Parts: sequence; structure tokens; C-alpha cells
Amino acid sequence: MAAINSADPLLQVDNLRVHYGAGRQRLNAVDGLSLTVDAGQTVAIVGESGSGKSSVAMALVNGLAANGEWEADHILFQGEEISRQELLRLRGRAITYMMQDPSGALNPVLTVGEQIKRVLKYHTPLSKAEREEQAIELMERVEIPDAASRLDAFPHEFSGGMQQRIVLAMALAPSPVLLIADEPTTGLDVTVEAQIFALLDRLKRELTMSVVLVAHDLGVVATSADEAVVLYAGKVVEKGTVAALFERPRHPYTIGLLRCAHDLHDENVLNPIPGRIPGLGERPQGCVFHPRCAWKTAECEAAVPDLIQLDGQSVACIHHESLTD
Amino acid sequence: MKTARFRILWNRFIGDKLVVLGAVLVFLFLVIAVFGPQLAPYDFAQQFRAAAGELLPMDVMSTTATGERLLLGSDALGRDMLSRLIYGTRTTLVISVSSVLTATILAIVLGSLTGYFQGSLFDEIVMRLIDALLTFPGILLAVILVAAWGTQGIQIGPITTNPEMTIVFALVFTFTPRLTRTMRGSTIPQAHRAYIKAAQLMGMPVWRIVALELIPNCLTAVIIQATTYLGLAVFSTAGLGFLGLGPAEPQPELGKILARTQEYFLSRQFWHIFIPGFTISLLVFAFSVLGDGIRNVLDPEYRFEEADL
Repeated sequence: MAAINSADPLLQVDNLRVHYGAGRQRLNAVDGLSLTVDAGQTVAIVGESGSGKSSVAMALVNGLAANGEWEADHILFQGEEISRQELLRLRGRAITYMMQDPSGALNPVLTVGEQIKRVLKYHTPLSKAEREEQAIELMERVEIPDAASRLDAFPHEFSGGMQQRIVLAMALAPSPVLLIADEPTTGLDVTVEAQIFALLDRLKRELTMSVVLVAHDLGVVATSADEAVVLYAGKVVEKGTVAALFERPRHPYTIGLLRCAHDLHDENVLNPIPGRIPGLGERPQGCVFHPRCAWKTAECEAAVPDLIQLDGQSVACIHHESLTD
Repeated sequence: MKTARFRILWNRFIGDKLVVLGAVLVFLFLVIAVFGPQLAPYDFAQQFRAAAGELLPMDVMSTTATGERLLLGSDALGRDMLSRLIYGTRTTLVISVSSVLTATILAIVLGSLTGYFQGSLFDEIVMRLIDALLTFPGILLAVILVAAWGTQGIQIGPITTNPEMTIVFALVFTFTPRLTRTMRGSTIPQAHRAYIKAAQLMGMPVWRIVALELIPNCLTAVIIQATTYLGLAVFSTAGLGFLGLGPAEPQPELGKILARTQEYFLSRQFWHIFIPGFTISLLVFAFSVLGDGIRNVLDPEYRFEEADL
């Protein structure tokens, strides 16, 4: 990889739109998301199911479903403007993707060693012996005990956490500068989840790699991300550094999300956000969040709020000044 | 780990005595086919005269006018039955095995591609062609094709194929559609699995995804079907031969030998019919029992028993 000029962000995407065709209709899943990932940083994309967070991840690696389309005004990689075609060429090499479900993401009839070596074969100029060595090294790097002898094991012989480590090893094989991890710990238990994130964090620093982390768990975001983008119904409602977001959330949705988490200390109180996220075809006029918002006024229903730049974060709410947590 | 897996499968296979019998018989038939020219006592076209100096269907262990002993006697044209049987087995086996093999390979390629590109124009065209071929009931399509092409070999540009190829082609046309449907059916659910998506997102080219990731996961059903088709192929080859659509004379083929024995069914040599008849039955039996065994080994639904472990 070419040396990275630290002044430029690694990846910058402006005004990303994702839409799905459903018959004659065109449904917007993501509407105007801008994302900046600095070198060595972890940017989290947060939202509940249906918010469009996975669509963002999939768009970046061109893996949208057949009826999905995406476009962006600008894509800048290491400071240079690139086309979608060029972004596609980076996929699998400079930008790799890590799947949600580790047991499904591995080919059941091939040994894990074979699967890692295949990635190396396709993306690196290494010889057969070097690939063997490199595969063992990658497995050691993701902390698989007794890596050399586990090379010939099949995926079903591993636990879920170990499978996810293999998936991670495959994603790291081409030495990427950006790893897109789409809810990498779905279906794993909490202790394993913590281990995976600790591992991801350590590898990120060791390999000077950036991570785009798709997550719905704010606890995960708080511990392992530097910046976060909060998505709601395809719209960015708030974004900023994790410190700023957790210190002072400005958008009613973020406040609601944090409340759900905070009040878990009190056994008797649950503070869910009332209502549910609108489906693709039923997005409301004005601010997308107003039907569920406690601070809603007539203005909220009339106009789509712009993202207002504040110190350390930006928020898409016209009432952000009068809100208190 | 690998060896333990193999041991379990092997124990499943040899657990069934009938399957072992089938495997041994198939092996013996293969030996006969491969070493036919070395095993056969005489040339399959050589005509012997009976002691009386005539061309006759001779009895078992009879001696010819020139002093040769014919172990299984001769056919009506004085040709050594044993040699014809050995060469006939060879012909039948070569035709049936190569047609099933070709059909299976074709089916794997077509089925995996149509399954992976499900709903595409390519899928539509291939599957509608296959639907058209499927409208002919079983062996009838092969009968029609051989009758149309003739048994002299097909001319493709400057090349004229060898006569047996006509039958192979006809059988390939009969077997491929069914096998392709099976393969496509097992490919479709696999093509939507996450590991295929993962391979796509790794930037692997389509041929690699299909050949290296997809196909190895979809083979079980088509292999099971193909092994059961081996018996059917022997039956069909012999059937075509019996109907006079086999390879041209003097090339022996089990079905053809059987057809000839009809001629003296009402004579003293009526028992001649049992020689090729029994051979065909044994061959079909061996293949179907072996097919059962292979299915037991590969079938994931097969229950583990005490004997397996």
C-alpha cells in the first residue's frame, strides 16, 4: 500500500444515497449520508433495524441486493477523488468486508486453512509455501490457539467466536487499510463479543487500519469507536465524536437510544422509544423522527431539518438548543 | 480428524454386505472391460466351424473342426460366445459409463450456472431447452436419436465420430436434463448462502465462486442420481442394442448378443439366452446395489447406527 498522507482522510463519501426498486417504486433506504474515515480510526454507524446501516456498508463494497442501487456525489480515497469503478477495484484488497454471521460466511466443505489461503492466492503474489505460512500467521494473529494444527479443520469444528476469528483472518489476509465490519458479533455471547472487539481494537492499532463498524449496540460503540453516525430511517440524525455524543446527545433519537441503555441500572424502569421505525415506503414528511418525538412541533412536520454543525458533533434537529437530556 | 471422518464413511459403506458384493462385482466387470483383449481367448469376429463343418450355434465346451475348445460355445455364426461376451461387456460398459460421466459433468456445469444465475436469460434459455427434452419419456428419446443419426457415426464437419459415440450422445441427451434439474435444485439454496456473498465481496471472479465455492457444496444429490443412472445406462445401452440400434456388426454388445440368441430360442440351444441375459442382469444389479451404497454414504439423512462408530 502507498504511504498514507495523514492529513487526508482515508475514505470520504459525500451524500451517499441508497435506493431499492420495488416494482415501479423507488424506495430510499439511505438518504444523503456523508462519511469521513480518518486513518487508524473507527467510525461506527449506529441505528436500529431498518435504519439503513447495513445498506451503507453494502453500498461501499458494492454488495447491495440485485434491486439495490447507490450513488454518491464524491468518493475520496486517501485524498484522491475516485470513481465507483475504482472503489470497486479496491474491494477485497484495500477495503475488505466482514460478514455478520460467521457460521454462514464460511464455506462448510472447505477447511479454514484452505479458505484463508484462497484469499491470499487471489489477492497477494505469495507462493504456495508462503501462503501456508501466512495463513498460520494470520490465524495466530486472530488468537486461534494451536493455529498450525487447526489449519486442516472444517468450520463446523469451531465455536462461533472462533469462526468469527477465521472470518476476521480472511478479511485481514490482503492487508487492507479499511475494514468494514457489519455487526461482527451478532449471535455471539457477551463475553465472546468483548473478546472480538478487544481483538479488533488491538489489530486496528497494530496494522494501522481503519474500521467502519456497523452496530446497534451503544455499549460496543462507546468502547471501540472514535466517531459515530446515528442513522434513523435512512437519515443521519446526529454524528460526531463518541465522546461528544455520549456526553451530550443533541438529537431526540440519540437521547432516546441512550436512555434505553442508561436506565438499565434501574431494574424497574424501561424507557423504550414509543412507536416503531417507519418502513421504506412510509417515511413521513418533514423530520423523519417526528412521529415518535416528544418535542415535536408543527415545524417538524413541515420541513426536513438540515444537519447543523456544532462543536464536535452535528445534529439534524431544529430544537436541539432547547432539548435537555 | 480427516481420517476419522473417512473411517465413519468407510464403515457405513462396508457395513452393508450387499453393497460390498455390488462393489466387488463392479470391480470385476471393470477388470473384464479393461483387460478384455487379454482375457478373451479368441477374436470376437473369428468364425469357427463345428465338427460337422457347418456354421452352427455350438454347445458349451464343444470342440471346433480345427480343434479349438469353446468354453461357452458359439453363436449362430460360429463366433466364440465367451470372447463376444467379454468384448460385449466392454462395449456396454464403455458406452454406459462414458455417457453417465459426460451427462453428469454437463449437468454440473449447466446446473450450477443456471442455479447461480437463477432468473437470468441464460437460465431461462437452458431450462426451457431442458424442459423440451424432458417431454420425451426416458429411453424413447435415445431410440429416436439413434434411429435418426444412424449407427454409422455422426459427421461433425470433417470429423466422423466412431459409431459407439452415437449411442453415447443419445444417452447423454436422455440423462443430462434430469441431472441438470437436480444440480440446479441443489445449487439455488447454496447460491443464497452467506459464504457465497462473502466470496463476492472478497472480489473473487464469478468462475472461481461457481467452480471452487459453490459446486463442491452442491454435488451430493447429483452424484447419488448419477450412480443410480449407471444401472439405467447399462439397461438402456443393452436395450438399444437389442432393438438393433447398437453398434454395427461385428462389434459385440450385450444387448445385441441377447437379440441374436432369440433366433434359436426354440432349438436345443435355447439356454444360450441366459448367458448374455444373466450378464446384463448381474451388471445392472451390481451398479444399483453400489449406487445404494454410495447413497447411504453420502446421504446426510442416513441415520448413524452402532456399527458406524
